[in-house]
Amino acid sequence: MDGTTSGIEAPRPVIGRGLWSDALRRLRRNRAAMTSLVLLGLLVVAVSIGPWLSPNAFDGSDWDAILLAPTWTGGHWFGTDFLGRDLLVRTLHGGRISLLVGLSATLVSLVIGVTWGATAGYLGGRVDAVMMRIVDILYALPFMFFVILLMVFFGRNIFLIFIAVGAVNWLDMARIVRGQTLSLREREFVLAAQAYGAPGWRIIARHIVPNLLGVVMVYVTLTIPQVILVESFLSFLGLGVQEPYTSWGALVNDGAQQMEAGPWLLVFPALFLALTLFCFNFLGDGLRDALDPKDR
Amino acid sequence: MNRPAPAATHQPVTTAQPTPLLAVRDLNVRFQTDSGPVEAVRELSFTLAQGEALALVGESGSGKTQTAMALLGLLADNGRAAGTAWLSGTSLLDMPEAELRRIRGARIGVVFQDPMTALNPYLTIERQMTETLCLHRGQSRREARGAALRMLDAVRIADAARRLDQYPHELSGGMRQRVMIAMALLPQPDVLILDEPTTALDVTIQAQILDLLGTLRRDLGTAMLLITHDLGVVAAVCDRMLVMYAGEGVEQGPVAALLEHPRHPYTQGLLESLPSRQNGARRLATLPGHPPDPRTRPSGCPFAPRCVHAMAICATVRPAWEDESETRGRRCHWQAPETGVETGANA
Repeated sequence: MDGTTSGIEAPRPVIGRGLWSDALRRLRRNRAAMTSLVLLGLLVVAVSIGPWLSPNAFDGSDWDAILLAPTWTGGHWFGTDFLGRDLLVRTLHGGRISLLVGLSATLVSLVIGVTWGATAGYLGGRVDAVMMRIVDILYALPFMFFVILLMVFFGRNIFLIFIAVGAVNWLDMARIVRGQTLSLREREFVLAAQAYGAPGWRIIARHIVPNLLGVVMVYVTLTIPQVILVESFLSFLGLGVQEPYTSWGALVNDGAQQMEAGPWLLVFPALFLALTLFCFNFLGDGLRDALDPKDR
Repeated sequence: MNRPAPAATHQPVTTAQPTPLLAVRDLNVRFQTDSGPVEAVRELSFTLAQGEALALVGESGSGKTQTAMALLGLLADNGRAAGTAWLSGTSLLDMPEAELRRIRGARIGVVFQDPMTALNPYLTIERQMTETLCLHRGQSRREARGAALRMLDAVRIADAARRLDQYPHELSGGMRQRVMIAMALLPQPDVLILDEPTTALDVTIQAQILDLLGTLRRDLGTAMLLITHDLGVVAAVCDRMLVMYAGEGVEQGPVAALLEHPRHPYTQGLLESLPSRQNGARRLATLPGHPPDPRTRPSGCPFAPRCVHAMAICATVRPAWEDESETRGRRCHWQAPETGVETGANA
């Protein structure tokens, strides 16, 4: 073929476009999700380095500055609490704990839940029944009872909180993953993999889990806010972090009690909490839409 | 096998080769269902010699796929296979799972019917193709990639290097089927089972795939077990064919001989129902009725209700397999004319 005069250009190189990059493109077009992503990013930066940048310490009591209303001047943008501690720094510092608990508890529940659910779903039969009955039994355990038990034995420790929360949340993840695995197991590429002799664990790891990641990712972004709320609830009940450390939940708790003296004590932490939860939810929605195979 | 032997034992029809590659004798596949045991395959026997292509022909539900699944140990949980199946002297049916896994892919390969669903949509072609080699030969990704490239060339996929990095949804149906064939051939199995390899493809692609299969057989010497309901496919690729009905083998022999001179009423019926250019625009002939429900199979010959040559004995006594020559055999009470019946169908 005469390339120089025929006017037909050479075909453009084919770049394999994976399903992930496809989904990423669709996510980018979702404004709510992208805004949420940006906001969450800013939030993470703020809670990480904010407390260092502030002249105030999160636990620094200042008896001269008790219950100051928020002002632009005077260095207390969010006001102070009843001990004279700067609320902005405390909010950011508390954000560290809340986000940390949220992410790590979710990670724990993710690892345990996916492994448990995928194994139960793939093996099926009696193994599946036993594994799922265990999940059912654990589901029936009252969460508060479990947390209090942990506190009694191990004392109040921030790590225990996210273990406790993660240990409860994996149950949901396991159920969802098991359901997905049950349907994936019937797909023909699993039969094809069995037909060339791949052992069970390999099929789970290389064929089933990648197909699960879409659902799992969506569920993770919806679990994180759940976990943060649970942590807030625990702090609200006084079972969360200990003073002087704080979390958004603890701040909301204190703020609610002192609402008449200083409404800002409630408003700012609640605002941060709500904003984070909204962002995770929008992101989760966006991911679900982006990864939905029916829209391709 | 502990159950009592059937009335007439079947001798496998062998070709000139003394020890066939794959020898199946009296294969029974039974499924335990809520309404009792269901026999999907009954007393099926056949052999496959090295480099030979045998077609398993029958309509949907005749037990063709379950035969293949039984050989590979991939029956559903409620399925049990009985009988004997020997792959070069190793018994397949009572093999432990771990050994079976070593055989699957490495010595018996499978190409499934629908290339759209048999490939994992989330993995690149390369990852899926190299998995067999990494698994059975312990090769590194790079070595396996090289082998995959060569095989993609062998199945005539242009631009193989780029295709390897693509995902299944970026390839056309015909290309996907070629990839499946390449994938199955990579570990160089002795036997390749193809389950309706061209059913999901359009006719022009079908022709190309069949041509490809013929070439690969010649070049690689792989024996093929082709499961199909399309007699055109059989004629194009296979040396011998085994016609199945309601889970039983009813006639077996060389393709040309069977297509021109069938000696079983079912085979005749199949051939007559093929649209034929010579017969002009005539109403198509069909076999009246439909195959029996496997749960309520009548005694006697399962084809009797639909058979034009049915006799009184057919309803009560199940015909035994007879070898009519070294290469042909059938299961029928009716005495067919010596040279079979001229069907006038296109061979």
